[in-house]
Amino acid sequence: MSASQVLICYSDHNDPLVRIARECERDGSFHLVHVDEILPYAQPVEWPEVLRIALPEKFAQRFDTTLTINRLFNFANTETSSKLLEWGVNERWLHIKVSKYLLRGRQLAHDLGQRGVSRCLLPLNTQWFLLNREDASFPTPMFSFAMGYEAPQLEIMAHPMQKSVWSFFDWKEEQTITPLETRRHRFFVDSPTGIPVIAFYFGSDVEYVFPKQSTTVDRNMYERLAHAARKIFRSEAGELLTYMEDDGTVRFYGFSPFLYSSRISDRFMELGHGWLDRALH
Amino acid sequence: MCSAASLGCGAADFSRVAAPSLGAGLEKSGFSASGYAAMVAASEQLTAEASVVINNIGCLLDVADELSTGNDIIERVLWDRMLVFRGNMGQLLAHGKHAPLVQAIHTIYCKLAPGRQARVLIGAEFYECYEKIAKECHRLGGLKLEEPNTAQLYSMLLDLVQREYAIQCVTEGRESFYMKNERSRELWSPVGDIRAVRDIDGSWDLQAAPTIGNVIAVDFDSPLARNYEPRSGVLSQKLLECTAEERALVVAKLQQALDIIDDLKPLYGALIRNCVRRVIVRKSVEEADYRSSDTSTSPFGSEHAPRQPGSIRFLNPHLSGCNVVNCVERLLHESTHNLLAAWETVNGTFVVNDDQYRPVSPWSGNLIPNSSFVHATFIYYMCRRLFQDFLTSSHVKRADTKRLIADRLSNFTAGFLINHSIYDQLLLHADPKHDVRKVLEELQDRVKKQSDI
Repeated sequence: MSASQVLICYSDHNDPLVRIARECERDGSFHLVHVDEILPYAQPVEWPEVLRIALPEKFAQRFDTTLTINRLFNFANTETSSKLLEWGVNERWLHIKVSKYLLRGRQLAHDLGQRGVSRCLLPLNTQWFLLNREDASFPTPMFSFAMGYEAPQLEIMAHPMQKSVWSFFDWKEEQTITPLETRRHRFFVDSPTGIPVIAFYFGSDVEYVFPKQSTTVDRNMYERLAHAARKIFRSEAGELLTYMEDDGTVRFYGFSPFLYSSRISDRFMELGHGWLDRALH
Repeated sequence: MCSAASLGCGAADFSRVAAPSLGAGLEKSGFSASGYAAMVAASEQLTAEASVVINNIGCLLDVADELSTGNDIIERVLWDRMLVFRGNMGQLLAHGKHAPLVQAIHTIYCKLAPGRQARVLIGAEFYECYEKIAKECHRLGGLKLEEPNTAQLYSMLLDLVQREYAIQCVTEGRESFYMKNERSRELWSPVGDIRAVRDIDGSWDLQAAPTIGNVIAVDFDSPLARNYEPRSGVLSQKLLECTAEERALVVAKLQQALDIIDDLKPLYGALIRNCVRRVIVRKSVEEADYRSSDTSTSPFGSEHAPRQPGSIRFLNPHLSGCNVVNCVERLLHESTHNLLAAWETVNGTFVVNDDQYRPVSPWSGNLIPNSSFVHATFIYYMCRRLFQDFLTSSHVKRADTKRLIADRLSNFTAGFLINHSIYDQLLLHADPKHDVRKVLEELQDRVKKQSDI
C-alpha cells in the first residue's frame, strides 16, 4: 500500500462529499473515481460471470487506500446505468463486481451493495428496528406497515401520513412514492411534530442543521445517536433526521448517507475536511 | 418410531377420541401417487424410514443437495406433519367434547375411512381452521362455543368433515344427509381434487379436477380458488373465468414444467408431487388486454400460504407471457415453501415473524417476512441448482429460452453474493432456536465459492 490516501468512488456529480474532497484536495492524496470511469473496463459476459470488470493495474492501485468512501448509492443519470440497461445486466452485478476493488482499502466508509442490501440504504422501519435493537432509549415514530392489500392500522396514529418505506425525505408530503406503493404494502407513519433537527456527523464529530428554527440540543444524546448510527448503518458519515417535540422528546425519523440536507450548514465543510484529514494521518 | 400403531403418541386426548389408524384406503380415495401418499397408504412399513432424523435444520441441506437421504427426509417431514395435524384435530375434538356441535364433528370424522381422515387433515382448509380456532380461544381465554365466532369456526370444521364424508358416501352409492340438504349443486373435497356435482336427475356424480403428475389437482373453480384474500398477491386480484382452452393450456404448461423437473432433478420432482396437493389458478387479465397493455406492472405471480398446506397459487399462468421456464421456477419455488413450512410445523418455526418489520430480499428487493427470507435462501439455492442443469439440457432448444434461463440464474446467484452474511439481513431480536445462521451462511458460502467472487 502506498502512502496514506483517500478514495471516493461516486456516482452523483453533486455528491456533497465529492465537493469537500475537491475543495480540500492537496498533494494528490484524494482520489475521485466516478463510476463512469470504470465503464470502459466493464463488459457483459455470458453466465456465470455475467459482468466482467478488469481495471488496469495502475487504476486498481488507486483503490489501495487508508480510507475508501463508497458513494455508489444509485446510478441514476450515469452512462453506466444506460449501458447496463442496454446489456441487460442488473445493477446489482456492478455492486458485486466493484466490491473487490472497494474492499482493497484499509477502511470502508459506507457499506456496499444496492438499496436494501447496503446497511446505509435501509427502509425506514428497518432503520427504526435496528436502532431500537441497538439502543432502545431512542424514540421512533408510530407506524403501520400493511401486508398486501390489507388496510393499515391508522387508528394507532394521531396524524398518519403515507410514506414510501424508502423515502428518507419528504416529511411534509411524500413525493417519491410509487403507484404500486400507494396501493399495496401501504406504509403509514405518524407525522412528525415539533422542531426538526438534522444532526450530521463525520466520524465522531457531530453538528446540527435547523431547517425551521434553532433550538438547544442535548449534544451528549446526539453523540450517542450518531455513534449508534455509525455502527448499525455502517456509515462513517451521514445525517440523522430528528424532531424535538413539545415535551422535549427527541424522536428519530431517519438516517441518510447522502448528506444533502446538511451541506447548507456553515460547519459542513470544516467537519468534512477534518474527517478526511484524519484519514490521512 | 413411526409405525401406525403408535400414531396416538403426542396427542393423548386425540388418541382416545379419534380413529386410531391412518393406514389403509388411500389408494381408493384419490392418492395413487408414489412417495408420501403411498407411504401413508403403507404406513405399517414406516419403521425403516423412522431412522431418518429431521429435527435439525441441517437435514434440509440433504434435500437441497439431492443426497440419497433426501427422499426419506421429505417423506418423514410430511408424515410427522400429518401427525401434528392429527394432534391438532384431537385437541379441537377433545376441548369441546361435551358440546353437541363438537360431538357431531367427531361422529362424522370417525365415520370417515382412515385415508379420508388423512385427506381432511392434509387438505388446505383444516390447518387454517385449526389456527383460527386456536387464535380465537387464545383471545377469549379458552374455548367458548357459545361465542358466535368460535361456533362459526367449528361449523366450518363440521362442513369440512361433512364434505369429505359426503364424497365417501357417493363412492359407496349413497347420499349423505348433508347432501340431501345441500342447496348448492356442487361440493368440493377438502383436498380440492374432487367435486361432487348434482346431476339433472338429482343424483350426485364425482368429477376429478385436472391433475399434473397424476396427483396434483389444478384448481380453477373451488370456493378456495375463488376466494378473496387481501393479504394475498394472487387471491386479491380480479376473478375472471378461464375458458376451456385456457384451462388446457395451463395444465399443459404445468405438466411440461413438472416433467422437466422430474427429468433434471428427480428428487425435486418428488418433493413437488409429495408436498403439493393443489395448484390454485387465478385469472385476472385477458390475453388481449395483456398484449395491448404496457409492461410496467407484471400480471404474474405465485405464492404459498403456510396456513393452507399443500396449496400453491398461480396468477395468470394462461397468458402467453408465462412460459414453461417461469412455470418450472414457480413450481419448485412454491413447493419448496411447502416443504419448509411442513418442517416448521413439526420442529418449530425457523425464525419469529413480525409483519411490521420485514427484511429486504437481496433477490427481489422486496420486503418479505423473516420466515419467507429463510425459505427464499433455500429456494433460490435449489432453483440455481435446477437451472444450472436446465441451461445445458436438451429441453432448451431456443436461444431466447436459453437467455431467459441464464437471466434467472444470474438473479438466483446475485442474491447470495452480497458482501455481508445473508443471515444478517434478518430482523431478529434474538437468535432463533434452530441454527439458522449456520445453514444460511453455508448456502451463501457455497454459492460464493462456485461463483469465484
